[in-house]
Parts: sequence; C-alpha cells; structure tokens
Amino acid sequence: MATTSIAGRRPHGEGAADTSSNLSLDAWRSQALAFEAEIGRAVVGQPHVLRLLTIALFARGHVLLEGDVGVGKTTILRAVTRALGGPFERVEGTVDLMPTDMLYAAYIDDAGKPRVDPGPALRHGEDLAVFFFNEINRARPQVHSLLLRLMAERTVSAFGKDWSFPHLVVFADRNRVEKEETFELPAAARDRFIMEIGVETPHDAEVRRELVFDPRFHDVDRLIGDLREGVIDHRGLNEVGRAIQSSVTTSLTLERYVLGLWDALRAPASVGVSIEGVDMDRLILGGGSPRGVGALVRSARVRAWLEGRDMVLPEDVRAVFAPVMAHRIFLDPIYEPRRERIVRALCGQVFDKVPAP
Amino acid sequence: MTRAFAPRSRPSLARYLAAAVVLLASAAPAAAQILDRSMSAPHPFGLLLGDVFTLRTRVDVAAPFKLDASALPKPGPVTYWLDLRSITIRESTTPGGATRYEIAAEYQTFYAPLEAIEQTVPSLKLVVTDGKGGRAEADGASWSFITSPLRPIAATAGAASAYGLRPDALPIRKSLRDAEIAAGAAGGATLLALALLAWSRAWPPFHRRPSRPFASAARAVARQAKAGDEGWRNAALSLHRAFDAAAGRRLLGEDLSAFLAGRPSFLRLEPRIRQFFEASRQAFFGAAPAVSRMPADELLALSRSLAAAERTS
Repeated sequence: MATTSIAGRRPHGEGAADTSSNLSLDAWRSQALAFEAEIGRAVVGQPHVLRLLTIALFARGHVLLEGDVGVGKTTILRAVTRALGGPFERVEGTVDLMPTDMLYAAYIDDAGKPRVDPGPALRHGEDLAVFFFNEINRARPQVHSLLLRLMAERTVSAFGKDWSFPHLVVFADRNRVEKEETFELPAAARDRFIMEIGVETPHDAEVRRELVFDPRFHDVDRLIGDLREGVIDHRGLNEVGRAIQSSVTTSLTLERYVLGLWDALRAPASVGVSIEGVDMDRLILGGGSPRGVGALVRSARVRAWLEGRDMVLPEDVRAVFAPVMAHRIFLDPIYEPRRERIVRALCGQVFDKVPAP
Repeated sequence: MTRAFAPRSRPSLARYLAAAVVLLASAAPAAAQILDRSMSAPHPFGLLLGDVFTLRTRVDVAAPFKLDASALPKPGPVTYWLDLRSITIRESTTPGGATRYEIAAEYQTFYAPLEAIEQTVPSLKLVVTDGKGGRAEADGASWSFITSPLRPIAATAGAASAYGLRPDALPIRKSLRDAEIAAGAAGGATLLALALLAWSRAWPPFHRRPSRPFASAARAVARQAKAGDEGWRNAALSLHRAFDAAAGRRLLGEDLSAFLAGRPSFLRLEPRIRQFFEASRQAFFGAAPAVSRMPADELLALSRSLAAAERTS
C-alpha cells in the first residue's frame, strides 16, 4: 500500500514543483524586463546593450564594456548597478594600482599608528554584488591576475583567509581609443568575461538630439539617482540562473548547430567563409574555447527565457554570438590591427553559411 | 454533226457548245411568269466513264418574279452514277425587260456500261417567286445521251500503237516542301516553347536554376513530405534550404519580416510561411517534436505556392 501511495503521490508532487518553478520563472522574467525598462529610463538608444547586460546578469557572467570615450559606458554600468541593488564597489584602473590596493586599505590612524583595513574589494564583506572596474586596461597585469581569480572563482585570499563572493558580478569597461600607458588584458582574463559588449554612439538622430540637448542627461548623478533601486533581488540571481539553465531545453538539432558554428569559427574556410584581403587559412589562431562555447549556450538559454520560450532557437544563439565569442577568437598577429572589421565579418558570415536547422 | 434548233441561242454560246441545243417546247404548260425556257447541251453520244459535261439552261422570268436559287439541286451525287460537280447562275436583263437566268450545271458520269446504252440526266426544277407569296414552278428539260464502254481497239496493229490502252498516268508527285518547312517550324517553335516553359518552371534540365530554389524544393517536398516523421523533417529542411538560397544567407524565423519586405510576391503567403517556421521550430528545436506541426499536405501546398510566387517575382 505504501508503494501505491508513493507512486500515486510522486507525479502530483513533481507536477506541483514544476508549476511553482515555472511560476517563479515567469515572475522573474517580468522582473527582468522591468529591470531592463528601468535602466532604459536612464540609458537611451542602447536597447541592444541593455538586453545583453540583462542576459549576462542572468547567465551569471561578468561583462566588459568597450567603446569610445563618452558614449556612456560608465553611465550604463552605474545604472545597472543601481537597478540591481546590493552593495557595490568601484575601482578606477591606474598604472600604479597594485593588487594589494584592492584588498587592503593602509593608513595612519588618529593615534598615529599604521592601520590596515579591508580594501575596496573586501569592504562590503562577502555580500558584494557588483565590482565595477573602470578603465580596466590601465591597470597592471598583476591586478588583472587578481581579477582573474575574483572572476573565475569568486574568491580572494586576504588577511590570511579566503573570502568568497557568491553573488558577485564584475563589470569592467575600457576605452578603445587610448593605447598609451595601457596593458592589454591577457587572453585568460578576457576569456573570463562572458561578454564583451561594444557600446557605440546611438545612430538615431532623435536619440542623439535628446542626449545632447535634454538637460536630464547632463547631470549623470541625478539621472542615476532617479532610478528605482533594487528592481531585482541580486541574492536570487544564482538560483534563477540555475533554474533557467535547467528548464530551457536545447534540442539535438540545436546542439549540432552550435557545434557547427564552433567548427566554422575554428576553420572558416571549411564552410566557405571568405573575407576580402584575408588569407582564411592562416587567419585563425584559436577559434573559441570550450568555456566560451559553454558561455554561448548559457547566454542563449537566458535569451530564450527572456523571450518567453522554453527552447533555444538559432536566433537566440545569433543574438548573443558576437558579444560572447568575438573576444575569444584569436587572430594571426598580422590581422590584429584590423581585428574589429575582420571579426565582425567572420561572425556574420559564419551565420550566413552554417545551415539552421 | 451540228444540229441547231435554237433560234435564241447566242453565237458565243453556239461556238462554245460542241453539238446541240435543245429547244424546250414553248408551248409546254409553263406558268405565265416564266416567259421562256431553253437548254443547250453537248452532243449526246460518245460519253465515257468519267466524262464531264455541262448543261446550260436559260430561263426568262417576268418581273417582279425571281428565280429561287435554293430550289436548284446542290453540288453532289445526283444518282448512283451521276455527280453534279457545280452549278452557277448568271443573271441579266432581256431587251423586253424580263430577267434572264443562265444556269450552267456541270455533271460527271461514272456509269460504266458494258455496251452502248442510253442514260438520262434528270431535269432541273425551276421555281420563281415574287417575294410576296406568289410562286410558280416549271421543270427544265431532261437530257439523254449514249454512253459507251471503254474498250481497247483490237483491230489495230500492235499493242504499242497510239490506239492501244495505255497504262494509267502516274499521279503527280506534288512537292511537300512548304508543308515540311511549316511542320518543321511548328515543331521547332513547340520545342522552344517547351524549353521556355521548363526554364520558367525550373523543370529539368533547368532544375538547378539559382533563381528558382523553391521550384526544386517543391519537388523535393513532394518526394519526401509523406514519408513519415523523418520525411517531414527532410522536406522541411529542403524548404529551409530554398529560403536560404532565396535570401542569400541562412534565414531564421526572426528575419522573416525583413525577408518578406523585399519580396512583395511572397507577402500574400506570409501567414503560411510564418506557420511553417513555427512548425519547423517545434519540430527541430522543441522539447516535444511532432506536436502541433504542419500536416504534410499543407507543407506541400505551401511549397508549390512558393514556387508559383517565385515565378512572378
């Protein structure tokens, strides 16, 4: 009899659990869209960037924003931080910044004694939600390697113990104009960013007029301050992220498609990609790491969830492909100066050539 | 050999006719409206199988009466041995104010006599009307002639003489060049039209035409769609490849609006195309394949509509 009752109960219990998790995922989706809309009040003309940031957040990945000076990279990250809520810390990258400067704050106290307090990274304890690294390419490789561990493992060692930051997201930005006194990010560090999002000046004339003439956009502090704080609960993101990854399915066809894209990226000539003025056989040194492709699938799942689907489509993969994969493609050095144009053409053509479904 | 009994026959007519003019008896009880009738005929003997002869009847009709041509016999067989080959009517006015009709009836005899025998050509029926209900009838003259059998002349010396029966003349071999040229031109035009049609519809050997991807997809769909689940998927793949070829890149569901915007001839099919992409998503990427997808018939119909739309674009 006991067996019967268990067998009778189990489907019911599972069904109920499914329903509740679906419900909460639906509720989370509307929160995510509200979050996006809230940032959109401060950041105009960049819906594409906001959508990618939202995806990265729910895919539990770190983001590097790249763009020209004054296009609003910092404003975007501040707005995201504000709408996300939770403790955040901000560090400006400089040439003389050392890793210890991020972990320890050393000073002479009122009594004239040297004191060492927790530095920016530790000041808020292990509940830190956002670590915001401005001008990351101005920092030295030593700092990059600290950041590497912080991003990869969400831990650091300081004061003789390990600190763990389970809810941490690292946002970084860098401008691509300056090359003086900068340190290129090592490939390993770049690979830790789930996305590298390019921010460009909005193309729409009306948006540009608004940005330049509307006084609302001149005072960034007030602009950010007007945003509602904590639209989503940053402590729930890890769990929701896991739920999304397990509830959104990828079919066999899609898996083959993604692997096909990956192959095409590693050997573009094999699918007939050709870029003007480029020897396709020697262009690619490394075409995306397994971690990178894993990040691609994670992001695609989140995008499908945001679109209200429970299956990943090629469209989802395409929408996140360039931000996730472009910075993980390593080109032959002679093509590096033309990197941006070549990688954009490569990503576009890969999608034009690999059949889906 | 000429017997001229026809005081009214004109000199030209007399010259034309070989032998005889038969004057109809004016005293015959003809209607008052038919003033005069006469017939002239060739000599009434020496006619052989296949000979053609003409009987000319002249009728004077008082005004306002007119000869009713519809009462005359039509060209064609008259009896089993006699054909009327043609009949012509010439109309003129007599000095007396009456209307004169000259009826020329051309006959051919096919009577094959075993010995000389007399045969009679039946008379014509002459009907005159005044157009107001008045009507009168009279018979023309009948004509008898002697027809003889065709015989070789046995008394002459040698079969090769000019009097011996000669073999039948060979039929003239008429040139068919014009007909051959016309048939050849028509055949060529047909082939050209067929080739154009095949080109337009992307039939073999034009089935790989780059600008007709949907035509070959429609054929592939027709081949595959009904072969179960796997067949449906292959058919859908064929159609996807056609969309890719038409777009010049891989076309995903989200790109449909942009794709259709540039192709007005496909706009009409938009709901069905979207339905196909939705069904394809479910089939290829959904968790529960084979649910809520497009039936094979609809898929086939869509592929054919697309091929038709492609021709007009």
